[in-house]
Amino acid sequence: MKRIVFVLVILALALPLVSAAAQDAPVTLRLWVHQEANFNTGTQALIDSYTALHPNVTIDMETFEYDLFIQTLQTALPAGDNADILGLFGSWTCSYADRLAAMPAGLVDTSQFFDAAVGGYLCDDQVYGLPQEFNMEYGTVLVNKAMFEAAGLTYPPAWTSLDELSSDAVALAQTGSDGLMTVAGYHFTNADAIAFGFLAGILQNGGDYWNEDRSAFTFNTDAARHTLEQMISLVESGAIDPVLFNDSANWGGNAFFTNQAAITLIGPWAVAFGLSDFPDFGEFGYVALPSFGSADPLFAADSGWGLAVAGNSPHADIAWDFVQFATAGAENALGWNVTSGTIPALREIVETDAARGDLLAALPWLEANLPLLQYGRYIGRMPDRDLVFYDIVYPYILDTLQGLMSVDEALMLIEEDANATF
Amino acid sequence: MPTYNYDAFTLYWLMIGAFLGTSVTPLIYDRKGLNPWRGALLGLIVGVISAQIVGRLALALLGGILPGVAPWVSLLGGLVGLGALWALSPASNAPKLRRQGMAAGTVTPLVFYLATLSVFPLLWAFALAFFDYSPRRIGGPLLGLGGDNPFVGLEYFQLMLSGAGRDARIFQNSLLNTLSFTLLVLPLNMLITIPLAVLIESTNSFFRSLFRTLYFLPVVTSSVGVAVMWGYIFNAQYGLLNNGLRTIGATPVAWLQDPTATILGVPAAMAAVVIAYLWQDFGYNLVIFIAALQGIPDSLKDAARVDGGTHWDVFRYVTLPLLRPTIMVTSVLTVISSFQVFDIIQVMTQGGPGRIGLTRVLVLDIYENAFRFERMGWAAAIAVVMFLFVAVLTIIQTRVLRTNWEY
Repeated sequence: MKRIVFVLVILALALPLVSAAAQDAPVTLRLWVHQEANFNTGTQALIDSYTALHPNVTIDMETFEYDLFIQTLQTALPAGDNADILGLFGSWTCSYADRLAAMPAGLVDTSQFFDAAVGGYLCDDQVYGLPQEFNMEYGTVLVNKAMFEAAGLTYPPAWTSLDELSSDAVALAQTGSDGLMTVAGYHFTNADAIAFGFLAGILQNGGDYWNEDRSAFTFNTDAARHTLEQMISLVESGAIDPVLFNDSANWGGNAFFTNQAAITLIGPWAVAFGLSDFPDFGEFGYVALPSFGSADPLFAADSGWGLAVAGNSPHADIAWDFVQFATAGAENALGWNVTSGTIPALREIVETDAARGDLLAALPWLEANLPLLQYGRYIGRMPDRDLVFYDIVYPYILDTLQGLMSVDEALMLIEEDANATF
Repeated sequence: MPTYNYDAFTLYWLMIGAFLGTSVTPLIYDRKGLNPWRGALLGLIVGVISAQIVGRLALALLGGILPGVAPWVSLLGGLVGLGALWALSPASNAPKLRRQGMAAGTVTPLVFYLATLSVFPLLWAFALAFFDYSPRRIGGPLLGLGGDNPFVGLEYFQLMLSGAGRDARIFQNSLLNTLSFTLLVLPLNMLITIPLAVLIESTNSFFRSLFRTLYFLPVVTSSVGVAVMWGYIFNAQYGLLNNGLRTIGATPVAWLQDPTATILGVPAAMAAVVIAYLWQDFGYNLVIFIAALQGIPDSLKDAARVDGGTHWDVFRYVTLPLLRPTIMVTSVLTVISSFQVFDIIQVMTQGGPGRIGLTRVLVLDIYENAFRFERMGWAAAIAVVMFLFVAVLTIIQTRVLRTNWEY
C-alpha cells in the first residue's frame, strides 16, 4: 500500500513537470489573415510581443488578397489544410463554426467587448472567436471643408435633423450644363451605406427588421417604409443622383476624395484610406449623422475582424492563449487598433480616460464615433449576410431610389427574398 | 515530431506515384519485350499503392529523426514498389509491341492527369448539382456530401424551370442575358470579320501582315485592361463617348449605369459590353478567316471571273461557300467563348445595372453563387445547364453548317 501511495505521490509531483515540459516544447502556429497593410503590421506586432513572452512558440503569419482569402478559407477548411489561427470577419464566424474550436470555458469574459462587436462570434451558446474591432458603417460621415465654406455653410456641421442635412446636401450638390450631376451633395448610395442606413433607419424610426424570436426578417413594416421614403426624399430633393453615384459608379470613398461628393456616408476605415491614397486632399472632417427619427441614434453593426481558432489545430490551447492575448488585453488591443486605424471592440479602451486619450491622440477622427458605440447592436445572425445585404437589400433599394420600383413593391420583395435565404 | 498534413500528402503520393509508374514502367517493359500498355497499368497500380504505404511509413519513421528530409523521402515512396516491379518482371522474347514504350510512357501519365484534374472535377460538378452543398458545412463522410449538405435530387432544375423565387428569377434572367449576348456577338462578329478578312486578303503581303498584327493585338491584351479602357470610354461624366455627344449638342447617356437607357431596344449597358467584347475578340476569327481565304485556289475565282462574275458574285458564289467549314469552326468557338464571358462584364458593369442585372450572365451567376455566397450546389446546377446549352448549340451549328465536300 505504501508503495502505491509513494508511486502516486511521485506521479502527482511529476505531472506538472511533464505538463510544463509539454508547454515549453517548441510549437509553430500558422495564422491566416487578409492583406491589409496596417492590419498586418498590427498583427505582426502582436505576434512579436507574444512570442517574446513565449519563446517556445513561433507564429507564422500568412496573408492573402481579400478575394483569395475567402476562396482559400472555402477550400482549405474542408480539406483540413488550414492555419491554426484565422483572422475572420465576425459576421461570418457562425457559418464556419463547424470547423472552428470553441473558446475554452471561462477563458475570456465576453462582456468586456461591445455587444455589436462580439455578437457575431457567439454561435449556439459557444464563443468561436474574439473581436479586434468595432465595425461601424453607419453613424458618421466624411465632410469636405472647402466645399462647405464655398457654399457658405457652417463647418463642421452639427445637424440635429435629417432636414438640416438634406438642406446642406442640396446646397452642396453641383450639376453640369449637360444636366449630369458632377458633385453629389450627400453620397449615401454605396452598397454598405444603403444596407446599413436602411437598417439604422428602421431602428431609429422605432421598428425592427427581425421578428420576435429572430427567426425571420420583417422588412415590410411602417418603420421600413418611412425609412425608405426618407431616403427617396433625399434623392428627390437633389442631394444625389443614384444613377451616377452608387457602389459600381463613383463609389463613395473615391468620390469624396476626388471632390465628387461633399458629404459621404462611410465607415471610419475610409479616413485611413483617404490619408494614404489621397495625401494631398485638403482638410476634411468626420461628423455624426442626425437620427432618422426622434429615437436614439441606434444602428446595426457587423461584428468586425477578429481572431478564431481552427477546430483541427493540434495546439488549439496555445492558439486560444494568443487570441486572448491579442484581443482581451487592453494594451495589446489598443496597439492593434491604433496601428490598423480601427474602432476598439474592447469597452475598457473606450471607457478608460487614459486609453481613450491614447486612441484619440492617434486617431482623432474617431471622436465622432466613440459616443455612438453604445447605440450599436449586432446585425443578428443571418444565414448569408452578404447575400441579404448586397444582392437583395442594396439592389432593390437602389432601384427604388432610381424610380424603377415602388416603395411597397421593394419592401415586399426584400422581405420575401431575404426570408428565402433561411 | 512535426505535424504533417496527411490529406495533402496523400494527394502528393498519388500524383507522384502514378506519374513514376505510368511513365517509366512502359519504357522498361518495352525493353524487356513486354506489353508497354500493360506495364503502364501495372505501374499505375503498383506506383500508387507503394507511394501511399511507403510514403506514410517514411513520414512516421523519419519524421522524428529528420523532420526536414522525411517529407521529401516520403514523396519517392512509389519507387520502392516500382523498383521491385521493374526488377522482377521477366523479359520476354516476343516483341510484338516493341517501340510503343515511348507512346505508352507519355500518353498514360497525361491520360491519368487529365482524368484526375479535369474529368474528376467535371464529374464532381455534376454530382454537386444534386446536393445542397456548401464548403462551410462539414456534411457526410463521402466527400462532404450528405448530412448537412443534403441530397436534393432534381430540385434545382425544377426550380430553374419554374422561375419561382429569387434564385430562379436571377438564373432565368442570366440565361436570357447570355443568349442575348451570344445572339448579338455571333452575327456581329461574322459581319465584321468576313468582309474585313476579304479586304485584308486583297492587299499586298506587307499590309496583310500589318493589318493582321494590328487587328490581333486586342486578342492578346488583358481582358481586364480592355474592360477598364472601355469603361472609361463609356463613363457617363468624363467618358470619351459622352464628350463627343456633348460636342455635337446631344444629351449624354449613363451607358453603363442607367437601366432605362436602350439602343435599338437593347439595354445600353448590354450594347456597351458587346462592343467591348467584339473589339477584343474579332481579331481571333479574322486571322482564321485570312488563313482560310489563302487556302482557296485562285483558279476557282478566276474561272468565275471568266464566266463574267463581278467582285460581289465571286464573293457570294465562290468565296463564301468555300468558307463554310471555317464559318462553322469560328461560329462554334465564338458561341462557346460568348457563353463563357465573364471578365469584361465583371469589370465594366458587375452584372448591372438594375436589381436583376441587365448584363448578369450565367458565368457571373455561377461565380457569385459559388465563390461569393458559397452555394456550390446551386452554382454547379447552373454550370450543368450551361454545359448542356453549349453542347446543344454546338451540335446544331455543326449540323447546319456541315459540308460534304473538299477542295
